[in-house]
Amino acid sequence: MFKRILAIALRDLKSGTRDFLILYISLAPFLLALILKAIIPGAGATTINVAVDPSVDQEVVEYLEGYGSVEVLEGVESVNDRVMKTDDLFGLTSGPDGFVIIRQGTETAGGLEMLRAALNALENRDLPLPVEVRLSDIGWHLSPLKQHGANFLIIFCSVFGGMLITLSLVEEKMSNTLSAINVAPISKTEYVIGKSLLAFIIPIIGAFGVVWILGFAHINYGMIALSFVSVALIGIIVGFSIGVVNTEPIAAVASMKTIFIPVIGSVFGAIFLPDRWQPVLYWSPFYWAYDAIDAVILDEATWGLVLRNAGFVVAITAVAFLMLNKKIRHGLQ
Amino acid sequence: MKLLYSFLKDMRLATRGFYFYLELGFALIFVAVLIFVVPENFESSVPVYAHLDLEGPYLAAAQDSLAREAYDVTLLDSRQEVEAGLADNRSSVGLVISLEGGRVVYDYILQGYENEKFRNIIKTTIEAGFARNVPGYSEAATVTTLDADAEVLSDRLNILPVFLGLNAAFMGLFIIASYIFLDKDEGTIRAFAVTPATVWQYLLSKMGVMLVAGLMSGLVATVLVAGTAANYLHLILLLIACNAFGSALGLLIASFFDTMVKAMGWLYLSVIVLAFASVSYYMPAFSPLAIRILPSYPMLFAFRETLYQASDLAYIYYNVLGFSAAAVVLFLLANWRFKKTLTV
Repeated sequence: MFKRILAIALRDLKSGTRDFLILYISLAPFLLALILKAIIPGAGATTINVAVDPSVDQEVVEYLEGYGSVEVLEGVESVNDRVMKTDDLFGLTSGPDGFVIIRQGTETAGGLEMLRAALNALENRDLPLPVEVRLSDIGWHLSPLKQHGANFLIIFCSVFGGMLITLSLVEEKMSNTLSAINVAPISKTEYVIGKSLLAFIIPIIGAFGVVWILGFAHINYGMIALSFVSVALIGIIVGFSIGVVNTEPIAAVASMKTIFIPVIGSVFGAIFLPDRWQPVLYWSPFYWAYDAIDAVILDEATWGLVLRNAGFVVAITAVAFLMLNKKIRHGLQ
Repeated sequence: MKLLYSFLKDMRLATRGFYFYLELGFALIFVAVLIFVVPENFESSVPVYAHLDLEGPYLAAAQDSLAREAYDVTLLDSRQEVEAGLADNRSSVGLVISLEGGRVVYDYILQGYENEKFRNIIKTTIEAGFARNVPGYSEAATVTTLDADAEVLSDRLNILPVFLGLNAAFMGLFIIASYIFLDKDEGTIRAFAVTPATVWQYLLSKMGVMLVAGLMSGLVATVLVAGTAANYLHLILLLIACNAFGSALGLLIASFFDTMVKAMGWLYLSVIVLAFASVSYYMPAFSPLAIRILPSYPMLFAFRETLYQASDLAYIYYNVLGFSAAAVVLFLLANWRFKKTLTV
């Protein structure tokens, strides 16, 4: 039995390596994690972007650089043109009556107040304040963007695993090799397990890659590994649901994007929905996987929580598999 | 005529299959999520955990001051409780107000992940608020607004351009390779080779199918979400140009591979990379050059323009022309490559 399962998995490995598909799907989480790592410092921080003309003193430019980024342009016209571009950036010029802030009118709320406050603080720096303002922190250095971005990427690894199964089944259908399985000395169950093997392992490698690249040194690796296993299980059910249920290859390929809706919906719902609304997501295995990984990343997870959530994922995927059992068997004819 | 016949035949085959209805279903699910799940506008109030280590008139004044702020303030009994609240809710901030040597001290407690520039902004904004009441205070700046009538879309409507760009416009990028390789595997290409039609007509016919699917998906979503608020003429022209660009790009990428599975890795990677433009779309203050050079970046903003009452026509048609020209160039390149490979 194991020999036959391994034969199916090795055949997929050989075919996937020849097509570079396994390479692409294996590298995708690493590449996306690197991109995420590159954008976290910029995208995760609130700063002020300003374009100034030469009327603004160098001293002011250096002062504003303590609050964000400053571009020095040739004149007011250039500043106006720059402000009118699509990104959020304010213009600043200086005249006899003080500074003039130039805004387009579509900027994100709060940016203008921040720039005004910075300029007012400079102008009134000699005034004695009636109070003292201090800033301190509780030493939590994990930004929400890194926390949620990494988790989203790990959940997304399940989609990559699913893609591997779907595309493999599509290829089998297109080359009519699927029908050969019916006359081969292998059961449907062995075939399904063999087909799932790579789609199970590759997302787990990808998920560890994400954790490694984004640098979560303090996490409990046992707990995160168990959560990754549950993520990989989701990928298998996704892959078979799409690859087998869709009889046409084009519909199967197009269906892969429909899986983005439950993935994005579950993750964003888990982040933004208030506690009383969270039960509307309990049907989603992505939600339980996200919830467990979030707790592990935040170093708040217990084995009880991780095991409970993994149990929910296994139960939901098992129910989905049972419901699709007939279709999967029929689709593999 | 041969092109029209080829297109009509492809359309007939496409409508008999499941794919078209899948795209329609996807658009309807998107609309349902947008209307029934996504609020018209997101409410974002930062929770504040505060402890007032004050007595008498100072305490009353601080309580009164906090009550006037539009924050979600929870008063706690000690600094430890404030820190515990911050640990429980990583999106919150803490505040301890105390009296030291007769001076009121506002200690804002952050999480720790905030960078130096953000800390400067927080500190300066708070200090500037207190400075306003000090005699001798003067406003340093006046504000000029270049577009006084600038419209701001609701948060719900603001999601629509992402769907139009990444789904309706890039539909061909996702799917067109499947059509080509399926025809190749099923022997349709072989049959096509003995007809008087040329390769470019065959490819253009497939692009036509993608265009119909993209227009259908984009217009269904826009009609149901934006209703009469959209400028449909500009939207349709932009959709045509962007969809043609997406399909031509898909064709060119597919032309480098001999099987669908080989092409899929690169096609999916392209879609994922192009999707990064939505980060800057939602956070315009973060728009690095690496994202601004993606074709999806101007595309998203152009689609947004079509949803304004007073659209920036120059921007929309600059995009229409740009993407049309790029589509022609990519199509010619794809045609040149397929002429060598897409034969018997």
